[in-house]
Amino acid sequence: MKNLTINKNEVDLNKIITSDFKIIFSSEDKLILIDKDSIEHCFYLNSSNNELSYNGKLYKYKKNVRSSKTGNDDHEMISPMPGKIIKIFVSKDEKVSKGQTLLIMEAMKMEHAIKAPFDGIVESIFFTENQQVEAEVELIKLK
Amino acid sequence: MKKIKSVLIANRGEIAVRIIKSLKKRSIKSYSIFKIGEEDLPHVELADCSICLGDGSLTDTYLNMDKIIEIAISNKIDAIHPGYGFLSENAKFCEEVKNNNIIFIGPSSENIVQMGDKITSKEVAGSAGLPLVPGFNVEKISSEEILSINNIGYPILIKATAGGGGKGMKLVNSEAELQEAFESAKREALNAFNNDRVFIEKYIQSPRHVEIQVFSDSHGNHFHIFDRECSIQRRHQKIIEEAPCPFITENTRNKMIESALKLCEKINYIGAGTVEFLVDCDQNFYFLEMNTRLQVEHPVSEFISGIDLVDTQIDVAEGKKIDLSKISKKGHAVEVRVYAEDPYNNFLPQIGKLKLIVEKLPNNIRLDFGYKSGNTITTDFDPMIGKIIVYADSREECLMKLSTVLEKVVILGLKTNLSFLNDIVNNDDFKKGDTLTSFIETHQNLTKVGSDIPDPVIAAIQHIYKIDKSNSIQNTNYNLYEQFYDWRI
Repeated sequence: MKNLTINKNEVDLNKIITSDFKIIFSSEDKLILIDKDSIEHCFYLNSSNNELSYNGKLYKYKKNVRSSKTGNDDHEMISPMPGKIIKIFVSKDEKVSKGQTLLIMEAMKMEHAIKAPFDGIVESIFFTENQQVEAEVELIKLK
Repeated sequence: MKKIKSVLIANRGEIAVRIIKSLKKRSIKSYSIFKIGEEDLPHVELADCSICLGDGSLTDTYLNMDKIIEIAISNKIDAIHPGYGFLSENAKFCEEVKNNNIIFIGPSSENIVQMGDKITSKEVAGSAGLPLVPGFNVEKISSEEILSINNIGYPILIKATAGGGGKGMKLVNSEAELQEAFESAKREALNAFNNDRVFIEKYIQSPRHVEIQVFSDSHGNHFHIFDRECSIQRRHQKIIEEAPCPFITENTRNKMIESALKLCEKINYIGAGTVEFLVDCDQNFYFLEMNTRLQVEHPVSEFISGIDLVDTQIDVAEGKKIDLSKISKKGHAVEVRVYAEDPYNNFLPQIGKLKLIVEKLPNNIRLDFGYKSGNTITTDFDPMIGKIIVYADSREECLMKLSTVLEKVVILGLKTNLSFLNDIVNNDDFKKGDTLTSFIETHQNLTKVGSDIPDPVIAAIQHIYKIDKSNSIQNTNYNLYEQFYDWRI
């Protein structure tokens, strides 16, 4: 296992030689590094949230302290936002095909269709229509 | 004629802040409203006086007409400015405000009724001689409707009659998608507007969205403040707007302005308004709708014309005659809307505690933001954090300037569309002025996040961990695991 995750990518912290980048400015909000070609790199920091911004892009990082979870993200149908389940199109043990709309949830007055990531059979449905759901909870499980 | 000495802003966020700025210039006392938990938002802090609406849903707070009018009465406030969204296009609210001898800074309730319903507004525009997109009202999908749609030809759009902002709007490419899209549109419409009426319309391919800013006083004088190009949209909601439109010819521009003014005359329009058109690749234009309020994108018109639209709204509300017949346009302005959303994951709205860092900016830049560092973005409201508006002599210069500004405005704490906006601004097709409403769908690569992490980022994180460690050396029980535990990617 690599020791750092940045924006879902596992990265080896030792991949680069830190001494190739020297600190020339460091504050709570900002870090400026200079590389061995004398090019400056400016970072804006939000350390309490483990984030930094570089060239206008946001990077979230964390150290991998124990083995990351086993599941493949693509196989989980999780709620992207807190919201409400509007309609469920499938029932338990139903055969579904990849791309089929399984349920529709609403968040911020917009509808989001949750689709099957692969062909499979509905193993469990964790909610019913009109139920409120939190963000990032599993909605449906396929097998 | 009545001089306005105090104004209640029935809104929040960046538009409330923007209105307060114009009120301050005229030394008009500003009142803002807020719900519990919003005490530290800029619109609350900047107003001369701010009144709490209590807690609860939108209906209990920013949409609570009775409460808002009661606040205006008990504070002897002369006028109410509704901003955009919320109650700005609610004829009943407009009427109630006036019935209580308070000035409504906006059009007449008749104007709102006539233009508020997308079907009625088209009938009126058609009778005023404006060109229309073919379409019809639909209550159910039966063989009759399917036949009528076939006559118009796919793709079609299903739209909420009372709608706006892309809510209740569905694109249908074939008959197979029709039923599901129809039901989804009705549900969204019911949810967002409490009205599930929808209609079907021909989808104009390769269109641009171009609008005319109009301004009328209460003495029958109708003017325009040129055009705006608003084609760059995601989910049928604008994200980049500019003035003037780089595509239309001077001839088309004049014809569109003439059409827009004909509509204003027809309905005896009063105040600031926007007549929206779809323009196809052959410079044909079709009336879309009229917004009877100040638009989100009004600052680009302010930049090229030098007119303060809110200030002019107050003039009109005071009953003054206005004269915008001599205005001229100069330079180019572009606005980008900064959203709390993940452009690399279906533009999903994001929540979090905002950290805003702004480096020194060049001249002729407006940052119209509704939030400041430390404020929390929630799911209770539209995810727009604010707008960046840039002005320069030419479009080319304006885009270059905007790109540098987009790197000087840094938002941490939650994902935003800033880098996505910057990628659009630097895109060759966009730079060429190839701004079709389908731009984002046809440039899907812009919504894909690059997976490689630049080496300097890894080095920076290395350094951050070292700095953290040396700072917390006395705190040896510091649990790294705990720090990361509640953090999810």
